[in-house]
Amino acid sequence: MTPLSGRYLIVISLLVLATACTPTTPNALPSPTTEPSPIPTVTTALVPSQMSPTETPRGFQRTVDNWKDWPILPVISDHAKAIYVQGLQLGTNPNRFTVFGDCQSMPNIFMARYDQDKELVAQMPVHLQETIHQFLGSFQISDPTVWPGTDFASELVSSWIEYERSTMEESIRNDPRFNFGFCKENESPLDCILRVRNPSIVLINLGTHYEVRNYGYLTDMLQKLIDHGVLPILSFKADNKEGDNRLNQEIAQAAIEFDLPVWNFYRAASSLPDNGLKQSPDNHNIYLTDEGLELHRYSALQALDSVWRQLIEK
Amino acid sequence: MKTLLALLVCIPLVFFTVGCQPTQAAPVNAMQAFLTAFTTKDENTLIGLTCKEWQDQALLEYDSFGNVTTELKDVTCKLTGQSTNAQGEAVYSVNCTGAISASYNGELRTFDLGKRVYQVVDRGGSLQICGY
Repeated sequence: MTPLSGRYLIVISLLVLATACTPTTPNALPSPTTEPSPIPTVTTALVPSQMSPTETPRGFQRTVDNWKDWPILPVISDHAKAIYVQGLQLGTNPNRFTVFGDCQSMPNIFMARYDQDKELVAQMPVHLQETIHQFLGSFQISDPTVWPGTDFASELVSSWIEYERSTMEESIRNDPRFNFGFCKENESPLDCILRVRNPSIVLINLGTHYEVRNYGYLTDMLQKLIDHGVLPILSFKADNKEGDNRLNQEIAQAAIEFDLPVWNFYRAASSLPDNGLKQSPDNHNIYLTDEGLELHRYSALQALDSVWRQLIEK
Repeated sequence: MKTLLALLVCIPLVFFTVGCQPTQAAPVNAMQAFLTAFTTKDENTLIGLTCKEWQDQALLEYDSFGNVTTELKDVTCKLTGQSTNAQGEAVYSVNCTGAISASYNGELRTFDLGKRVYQVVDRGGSLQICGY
Protein backbone atom coordinates (compact mmCIF):
# COMPACT_ATOMS: atom_id res chain seq x y z
CA MET A 1 0.00 0.00 0.00
CA THR A 2 1.40 3.42 -0.99
CA PRO A 3 1.41 6.29 1.51
CA LEU A 4 -1.10 8.12 -0.75
CA SER A 5 -3.66 5.30 -0.78
CA GLY A 6 -3.23 5.02 3.00
CA ARG A 7 -4.15 8.71 3.30
CA TYR A 8 -7.20 8.15 1.06
CA LEU A 9 -8.29 5.32 3.28
CA ILE A 10 -8.05 7.51 6.38
CA VAL A 11 -10.01 10.33 4.71
CA ILE A 12 -12.71 7.94 3.47
CA SER A 13 -12.95 6.32 6.90
CA LEU A 14 -13.35 9.74 8.53
CA LEU A 15 -16.06 10.70 6.04
CA VAL A 16 -17.97 7.48 6.69
CA LEU A 17 -17.68 8.01 10.43
CA ALA A 18 -18.81 11.63 10.21
CA THR A 19 -21.82 10.67 8.10
CA ALA A 20 -22.79 7.90 10.51
CA CYS A 21 -22.64 10.27 13.50
CA THR A 22 -24.77 12.97 11.88
CA PRO A 23 -28.39 12.77 13.02
CA THR A 24 -30.79 12.13 10.20
CA THR A 25 -33.12 14.95 9.34
CA PRO A 26 -36.72 13.87 9.11
CA ASN A 27 -38.74 14.88 6.08
CA ALA A 28 -40.60 18.14 6.05
CA LEU A 29 -38.66 19.63 8.92
CA PRO A 30 -38.15 23.36 8.96
CA SER A 31 -34.58 24.30 8.15
CA PRO A 32 -32.79 26.20 10.86
CA THR A 33 -32.29 29.78 9.84
CA THR A 34 -28.80 29.98 11.22
CA GLU A 35 -25.79 27.97 10.20
CA PRO A 36 -24.82 25.90 13.22
CA SER A 37 -21.59 26.74 14.99
CA PRO A 38 -19.53 24.24 16.95
CA ILE A 39 -21.10 23.19 20.25
CA PRO A 40 -19.79 25.32 23.10
CA THR A 41 -17.22 23.57 25.26
CA VAL A 42 -19.39 23.82 28.34
CA THR A 43 -22.23 22.00 26.61
CA THR A 44 -19.94 19.31 25.29
CA ALA A 45 -18.64 18.74 28.78
CA LEU A 46 -22.15 18.38 30.08
CA VAL A 47 -23.18 15.71 27.66
CA PRO A 48 -22.03 12.40 29.10
CA SER A 49 -20.93 9.84 26.57
CA GLN A 50 -23.72 7.51 27.62
CA MET A 51 -26.43 9.95 26.52
CA SER A 52 -27.73 7.98 23.60
CA PRO A 53 -31.01 6.18 23.14
CA THR A 54 -29.06 3.10 22.12
CA GLU A 55 -27.06 2.92 25.31
CA THR A 56 -28.79 -0.12 26.78
CA PRO A 57 -28.10 -3.65 25.65
CA ARG A 58 -30.37 -5.15 23.05
CA GLY A 59 -33.39 -6.84 24.55
CA PHE A 60 -33.23 -4.66 27.66
CA GLN A 61 -36.49 -5.05 29.56
CA ARG A 62 -37.63 -2.24 31.79
CA THR A 63 -38.42 -3.38 35.31
CA VAL A 64 -38.97 -1.42 38.50
CA ASP A 65 -35.77 -2.90 39.94
CA ASN A 66 -33.51 -1.86 37.06
CA TRP A 67 -34.83 1.71 36.71
CA LYS A 68 -31.37 3.19 37.24
CA ASP A 69 -30.17 1.43 34.10
CA TRP A 70 -32.98 2.64 31.88
CA PRO A 71 -31.68 4.70 28.95
CA ILE A 72 -31.30 8.40 29.57
CA LEU A 73 -33.15 9.34 26.43
CA PRO A 74 -36.72 8.05 26.18
CA VAL A 75 -37.57 5.16 23.93
CA ILE A 76 -40.92 5.34 22.18
CA SER A 77 -43.10 2.23 22.02
CA ASP A 78 -45.79 1.62 19.42
CA HIS A 79 -48.35 2.32 22.13
CA ALA A 80 -46.77 5.69 22.93
CA LYS A 81 -46.77 6.59 19.27
CA ALA A 82 -50.42 5.58 18.99
CA ILE A 83 -51.29 8.01 21.82
CA TYR A 84 -49.51 10.82 19.98
CA VAL A 85 -51.10 10.01 16.63
CA GLN A 86 -54.55 9.75 18.16
CA GLY A 87 -53.96 13.10 19.83
CA LEU A 88 -53.11 14.75 16.53
CA GLN A 89 -56.30 13.33 15.08
CA LEU A 90 -58.18 14.82 18.03
CA GLY A 91 -56.54 18.17 17.32
CA THR A 92 -53.62 18.43 19.73
CA ASN A 93 -50.98 20.94 18.71
CA PRO A 94 -47.84 19.29 17.27
CA ASN A 95 -45.88 22.48 17.98
CA ARG A 96 -46.71 22.65 21.66
CA PHE A 97 -45.27 20.78 24.58
CA THR A 98 -45.92 21.58 28.23
CA VAL A 99 -43.99 20.96 31.41
CA PHE A 100 -45.41 19.76 34.74
CA GLY A 101 -42.93 20.57 37.45
CA ASP A 102 -41.83 22.31 40.61
CA CYS A 103 -39.45 25.21 41.21
CA GLN A 104 -36.62 23.63 39.22
CA SER A 105 -38.88 23.52 36.17
CA MET A 106 -39.83 27.20 36.26
CA PRO A 107 -39.16 28.47 32.72
CA ASN A 108 -36.57 31.05 33.75
CA ILE A 109 -34.29 28.39 35.23
CA PHE A 110 -35.30 25.48 33.00
CA MET A 111 -35.68 25.89 29.26
CA ALA A 112 -36.86 29.46 28.56
CA ARG A 113 -33.47 30.33 27.12
CA TYR A 114 -34.14 28.06 24.15
CA ASP A 115 -36.89 30.49 23.16
CA GLN A 116 -34.99 33.59 24.14
CA ASP A 117 -31.28 33.21 23.47
CA LYS A 118 -30.83 33.06 19.72
CA GLU A 119 -27.05 33.11 20.01
CA LEU A 120 -27.05 30.08 22.26
CA VAL A 121 -29.45 28.22 20.00
CA ALA A 122 -27.33 29.02 16.95
CA GLN A 123 -24.39 27.25 18.60
CA MET A 124 -26.31 24.06 19.23
CA PRO A 125 -26.29 20.93 17.07
CA VAL A 126 -28.56 21.32 14.07
CA HIS A 127 -30.99 18.60 15.15
CA LEU A 128 -31.59 20.37 18.48
CA GLN A 129 -32.14 23.64 16.64
CA GLU A 130 -34.79 21.89 14.58
CA THR A 131 -36.48 20.61 17.73
CA ILE A 132 -36.42 24.08 19.27
CA HIS A 133 -37.92 25.45 16.07
CA GLN A 134 -40.62 22.77 16.13
CA PHE A 135 -41.69 23.70 19.67
CA LEU A 136 -40.80 27.40 19.52
CA GLY A 137 -42.67 29.36 22.18
CA SER A 138 -43.23 26.33 24.42
CA PHE A 139 -40.01 26.78 26.40
CA GLN A 140 -40.69 30.16 27.95
CA ILE A 141 -44.41 29.86 28.60
CA SER A 142 -45.45 30.23 32.20
CA ASP A 143 -48.15 27.72 33.02
CA PRO A 144 -50.01 26.83 36.22
CA THR A 145 -48.60 23.30 35.94
CA VAL A 146 -45.18 24.54 37.03
CA TRP A 147 -44.81 26.19 40.43
CA PRO A 148 -42.62 25.92 43.53
CA GLY A 149 -43.86 23.14 45.81
CA THR A 150 -45.97 21.44 43.16
CA ASP A 151 -46.59 17.73 43.61
CA PHE A 152 -48.77 15.29 41.69
CA ALA A 153 -51.88 16.22 43.68
CA SER A 154 -51.42 19.93 42.99
CA GLU A 155 -51.90 19.41 39.26
CA LEU A 156 -55.37 18.04 39.88
CA VAL A 157 -56.97 20.71 42.11
CA SER A 158 -58.28 24.12 41.20
CA SER A 159 -57.28 25.62 44.52
CA TRP A 160 -53.63 25.21 43.57
CA ILE A 161 -54.09 27.95 40.96
CA GLU A 162 -55.56 30.18 43.67
CA TYR A 163 -52.53 29.37 45.79
CA GLU A 164 -50.19 30.16 42.90
CA ARG A 165 -51.89 33.53 42.46
CA SER A 166 -51.52 34.24 46.15
CA THR A 167 -47.78 33.69 45.90
CA MET A 168 -47.32 35.99 42.91
CA GLU A 169 -45.76 39.39 43.17
CA GLU A 170 -48.32 42.10 43.88
CA SER A 171 -47.72 43.73 40.50
CA ILE A 172 -48.89 40.70 38.53
CA ARG A 173 -51.29 39.05 40.96
CA ASN A 174 -54.29 40.96 39.64
CA ASP A 175 -53.25 41.00 36.02
CA PRO A 176 -55.12 38.26 34.14
CA ARG A 177 -52.42 38.22 31.47
CA PHE A 178 -49.93 36.87 33.95
CA ASN A 179 -51.89 35.33 36.82
CA PHE A 180 -53.24 32.37 34.86
CA GLY A 181 -56.41 34.37 34.27
CA PHE A 182 -56.92 32.17 31.22
CA CYS A 183 -57.88 29.32 33.55
CA LYS A 184 -61.54 28.97 34.43
CA GLU A 185 -62.91 29.04 37.95
CA ASN A 186 -62.69 25.55 39.47
CA GLU A 187 -60.35 24.35 36.73
CA SER A 188 -57.28 22.39 37.80
CA PRO A 189 -53.86 23.24 36.35
CA LEU A 190 -54.02 20.03 34.31
CA ASP A 191 -57.49 20.76 32.88
CA CYS A 192 -56.51 24.36 32.21
CA ILE A 193 -53.45 23.58 30.10
CA LEU A 194 -55.26 20.82 28.23
CA ARG A 195 -57.87 23.36 27.19
CA VAL A 196 -55.68 26.43 26.67
CA ARG A 197 -52.33 25.06 25.48
CA ASN A 198 -53.62 21.88 23.86
CA PRO A 199 -50.17 20.25 23.91
CA SER A 200 -49.27 17.08 22.06
CA ILE A 201 -46.51 16.21 24.55
CA VAL A 202 -46.18 16.80 28.30
CA LEU A 203 -42.90 16.47 30.15
CA ILE A 204 -43.66 15.39 33.72
CA ASN A 205 -40.80 16.61 35.83
CA LEU A 206 -42.31 16.05 39.27
CA GLY A 207 -41.56 13.77 42.18
CA THR A 208 -39.33 15.66 44.59
CA HIS A 209 -42.47 16.61 46.50
CA TYR A 210 -44.73 13.71 47.30
CA GLU A 211 -47.47 12.33 49.51
CA VAL A 212 -48.58 8.85 50.46
CA ARG A 213 -51.25 8.82 47.76
CA ASN A 214 -48.72 9.90 45.14
CA TYR A 215 -49.13 6.91 42.87
CA GLY A 216 -52.90 7.25 42.57
CA TYR A 217 -52.57 10.91 41.63
CA LEU A 218 -49.84 10.12 39.12
CA THR A 219 -51.92 7.45 37.42
CA ASP A 220 -55.03 9.68 37.41
CA MET A 221 -52.97 12.35 35.72
CA LEU A 222 -51.51 9.96 33.15
CA GLN A 223 -54.90 8.50 32.31
CA LYS A 224 -56.37 11.95 31.76
CA LEU A 225 -53.50 12.99 29.50
CA ILE A 226 -53.73 9.78 27.48
CA ASP A 227 -57.51 10.15 27.17
CA HIS A 228 -56.87 13.56 25.61
CA GLY A 229 -54.28 12.14 23.22
CA VAL A 230 -51.39 13.85 24.97
CA LEU A 231 -48.19 11.82 25.22
CA PRO A 232 -46.65 12.07 28.70
CA ILE A 233 -42.88 11.78 29.07
CA LEU A 234 -42.07 10.74 32.63
CA SER A 235 -38.74 11.49 34.26
CA PHE A 236 -36.57 10.15 37.05
CA LYS A 237 -35.47 12.88 39.43
CA ALA A 238 -31.87 13.28 40.52
CA ASP A 239 -32.55 13.39 44.26
CA ASN A 240 -33.44 10.70 46.73
CA LYS A 241 -35.16 12.88 49.32
CA GLU A 242 -37.34 9.98 50.41
CA GLY A 243 -34.29 7.85 51.21
CA ASP A 244 -35.21 4.62 49.44
CA ASN A 245 -35.76 5.83 45.86
CA ARG A 246 -39.37 4.71 46.02
CA LEU A 247 -40.57 7.75 44.06
CA ASN A 248 -38.47 6.95 41.03
CA GLN A 249 -39.59 3.34 41.45
CA GLU A 250 -43.22 4.50 41.42
CA ILE A 251 -42.55 6.46 38.26
CA ALA A 252 -40.93 3.36 36.75
CA GLN A 253 -43.98 1.33 37.76
CA ALA A 254 -46.33 3.82 36.12
CA ALA A 255 -44.18 3.96 32.98
CA ILE A 256 -44.36 0.18 32.67
CA GLU A 257 -48.07 0.04 33.49
CA PHE A 258 -48.95 2.70 30.89
CA ASP A 259 -46.11 1.82 28.48
CA LEU A 260 -44.78 5.37 28.45
CA PRO A 261 -41.39 6.90 27.67
CA VAL A 262 -39.08 7.98 30.48
CA TRP A 263 -36.29 10.52 30.55
CA ASN A 264 -33.77 9.08 32.99
CA PHE A 265 -32.37 12.30 34.39
CA TYR A 266 -31.19 10.40 37.48
CA ARG A 267 -28.76 8.50 35.28
CA ALA A 268 -27.68 11.62 33.40
CA ALA A 269 -27.02 13.41 36.70
CA SER A 270 -24.97 10.50 38.00
CA SER A 271 -22.12 11.78 35.83
CA LEU A 272 -21.90 14.85 38.08
CA PRO A 273 -20.50 15.10 41.62
CA ASP A 274 -23.22 14.33 44.20
CA ASN A 275 -25.64 13.62 41.37
CA GLY A 276 -25.60 17.31 40.51
CA LEU A 277 -27.23 18.22 43.83
CA LYS A 278 -26.32 20.95 46.29
CA GLN A 279 -25.37 19.49 49.64
CA SER A 280 -27.41 20.91 52.49
CA PRO A 281 -26.68 20.51 56.23
CA ASP A 282 -30.03 18.76 56.86
CA ASN A 283 -29.20 16.24 54.12
CA HIS A 284 -32.34 17.19 52.15
CA ASN A 285 -30.40 17.57 48.97
CA ILE A 286 -33.01 18.41 46.37
CA TYR A 287 -31.70 21.52 44.65
CA LEU A 288 -29.50 21.16 41.61
CA THR A 289 -26.14 22.87 41.39
CA ASP A 290 -25.50 25.27 38.53
CA GLU A 291 -23.87 22.41 36.65
CA GLY A 292 -26.85 20.21 37.50
CA LEU A 293 -29.29 22.82 36.20
CA GLU A 294 -27.30 23.15 32.99
CA LEU A 295 -27.40 19.42 32.45
CA HIS A 296 -31.08 19.34 33.45
CA ARG A 297 -32.13 21.73 30.72
CA TYR A 298 -29.84 20.36 28.04
CA SER A 299 -30.72 16.75 28.75
CA ALA A 300 -34.43 17.67 28.78
CA LEU A 301 -34.05 19.21 25.35
CA GLN A 302 -32.28 16.09 24.13
CA ALA A 303 -35.10 13.98 25.56
CA LEU A 304 -37.71 16.08 23.78
CA ASP A 305 -35.69 15.91 20.59
CA SER A 306 -35.36 12.14 20.87
CA VAL A 307 -39.07 11.65 21.52
CA TRP A 308 -40.16 13.92 18.72
CA ARG A 309 -37.85 12.29 16.19
CA GLN A 310 -38.98 8.82 17.13
CA LEU A 311 -42.61 9.91 16.87
CA ILE A 312 -42.28 11.30 13.39
CA GLU A 313 -39.86 8.74 12.04
CA LYS A 314 -41.26 5.49 13.31
CA MET B 1 -106.08 15.72 82.96
CA LYS B 2 -106.00 16.00 79.17
CA THR B 3 -103.93 19.17 79.42
CA LEU B 4 -101.47 17.51 81.75
CA LEU B 5 -101.16 14.54 79.40
CA ALA B 6 -100.58 16.83 76.43
CA LEU B 7 -97.87 18.69 78.33
CA LEU B 8 -96.22 15.42 79.35
CA VAL B 9 -96.04 14.37 75.70
CA CYS B 10 -95.19 17.72 74.14
CA ILE B 11 -92.52 19.00 76.50
CA PRO B 12 -90.18 16.02 75.99
CA LEU B 13 -90.85 16.21 72.24
CA VAL B 14 -89.84 19.86 72.17
CA PHE B 15 -86.69 19.13 74.18
CA PHE B 16 -85.91 16.17 71.94
CA THR B 17 -86.31 18.20 68.75
CA VAL B 18 -84.24 21.10 70.02
CA GLY B 19 -81.62 18.75 71.40
CA CYS B 20 -81.21 16.96 68.09
CA GLN B 21 -80.87 20.14 66.05
CA PRO B 22 -77.33 21.41 65.95
CA THR B 23 -77.11 24.94 67.20
CA GLN B 24 -75.98 27.61 64.78
CA ALA B 25 -72.54 27.35 66.29
CA ALA B 26 -72.13 23.64 65.56
CA PRO B 27 -71.70 23.83 61.74
CA VAL B 28 -69.37 26.78 62.20
CA ASN B 29 -67.33 24.84 64.75
CA ALA B 30 -67.18 21.83 62.44
CA MET B 31 -65.96 24.05 59.64
CA GLN B 32 -63.28 25.60 61.79
CA ALA B 33 -62.18 22.18 63.02
CA PHE B 34 -61.89 21.04 59.39
CA LEU B 35 -59.75 24.03 58.44
CA THR B 36 -57.59 23.52 61.51
CA ALA B 37 -57.06 19.87 60.58
CA PHE B 38 -56.24 20.93 57.03
CA THR B 39 -53.58 23.39 58.08
CA THR B 40 -52.07 21.36 60.92
CA LYS B 41 -51.82 18.31 58.64
CA ASP B 42 -54.07 16.24 60.91
CA GLU B 43 -55.25 13.73 58.33
CA ASN B 44 -57.33 11.52 60.63
CA THR B 45 -59.36 14.42 61.96
CA LEU B 46 -59.82 15.75 58.46
CA ILE B 47 -61.17 12.41 57.27
CA GLY B 48 -63.48 12.18 60.27
CA LEU B 49 -64.96 15.57 59.42
CA THR B 50 -65.48 14.85 55.74
CA CYS B 51 -68.39 13.24 53.90
CA LYS B 52 -67.48 9.92 52.32
CA GLU B 53 -68.43 11.16 48.87
CA TRP B 54 -66.17 14.22 49.17
CA GLN B 55 -63.30 12.47 50.92
CA ASP B 56 -61.17 11.88 47.81
CA GLN B 57 -61.41 15.51 46.81
CA ALA B 58 -60.67 16.72 50.35
CA LEU B 59 -57.60 14.49 50.54
CA LEU B 60 -56.47 15.61 47.10
CA GLU B 61 -56.57 19.24 48.25
CA TYR B 62 -54.91 18.28 51.51
CA ASP B 63 -52.12 16.48 49.65
CA SER B 64 -51.65 19.30 47.17
CA PHE B 65 -50.63 21.51 50.07
CA GLY B 66 -48.52 18.77 51.60
CA ASN B 67 -45.25 20.51 50.86
CA VAL B 68 -46.39 23.91 52.00
CA THR B 69 -46.33 24.90 55.67
CA THR B 70 -49.79 26.19 56.48
CA GLU B 71 -51.61 27.89 59.33
CA LEU B 72 -54.89 29.73 59.76
CA LYS B 73 -54.77 33.48 59.85
CA ASP B 74 -57.66 35.51 61.30
CA VAL B 75 -60.23 32.93 60.27
CA THR B 76 -63.82 33.51 61.31
CA CYS B 77 -66.64 31.38 59.96
CA LYS B 78 -70.35 32.12 59.95
CA LEU B 79 -73.54 30.38 58.94
CA THR B 80 -74.94 31.92 55.78
CA GLY B 81 -77.77 29.55 54.94
CA GLN B 82 -79.61 26.37 55.75
CA SER B 83 -81.58 23.93 53.60
CA THR B 84 -82.53 20.29 53.37
CA ASN B 85 -81.15 17.94 50.74
CA ALA B 86 -82.93 15.13 48.87
CA GLN B 87 -82.06 12.70 51.64
CA GLY B 88 -83.77 14.92 54.17
CA GLU B 89 -80.49 15.93 55.78
CA ALA B 90 -79.92 19.44 57.03
CA VAL B 91 -77.36 21.28 54.89
CA TYR B 92 -75.65 24.33 56.31
CA SER B 93 -73.78 26.87 54.21
CA VAL B 94 -70.74 28.22 55.99
CA ASN B 95 -68.53 31.03 54.77
CA CYS B 96 -65.21 31.89 56.33
CA THR B 97 -63.24 35.09 56.20
CA GLY B 98 -59.52 35.19 56.76
CA ALA B 99 -56.82 33.20 55.08
CA ILE B 100 -54.56 30.24 55.12
CA SER B 101 -51.07 31.49 55.66
CA ALA B 102 -48.75 29.38 53.54
CA SER B 103 -45.00 29.31 53.45
CA TYR B 104 -42.77 27.44 51.06
CA ASN B 105 -39.02 27.71 51.12
CA GLY B 106 -39.17 30.62 53.55
CA GLU B 107 -41.62 32.75 51.60
CA LEU B 108 -44.80 33.53 53.49
CA ARG B 109 -48.03 34.15 51.54
CA THR B 110 -51.72 34.22 52.31
CA PHE B 111 -54.42 32.26 50.58
CA ASP B 112 -57.82 33.93 50.88
CA LEU B 113 -60.69 31.73 52.05
CA GLY B 114 -63.48 34.25 51.54
CA LYS B 115 -64.61 33.03 48.12
CA ARG B 116 -65.71 29.64 49.33
CA VAL B 117 -69.06 28.67 50.77
CA TYR B 118 -68.70 25.26 52.36
CA GLN B 119 -71.55 22.78 52.64
CA VAL B 120 -71.79 21.23 56.10
CA VAL B 121 -74.25 18.32 56.25
CA ASP B 122 -75.84 16.78 59.31
CA ARG B 123 -75.27 13.03 58.91
CA GLY B 124 -77.24 11.40 61.70
CA GLY B 125 -76.08 13.94 64.23
CA SER B 126 -72.53 14.13 62.91
CA LEU B 127 -71.68 17.31 61.04
CA GLN B 128 -69.53 16.68 58.00
CA ILE B 129 -68.00 18.90 55.35
CA CYS B 130 -69.27 17.81 51.94
CA GLY B 131 -67.70 20.32 49.57
CA TYR B 132 -67.79 23.95 48.66
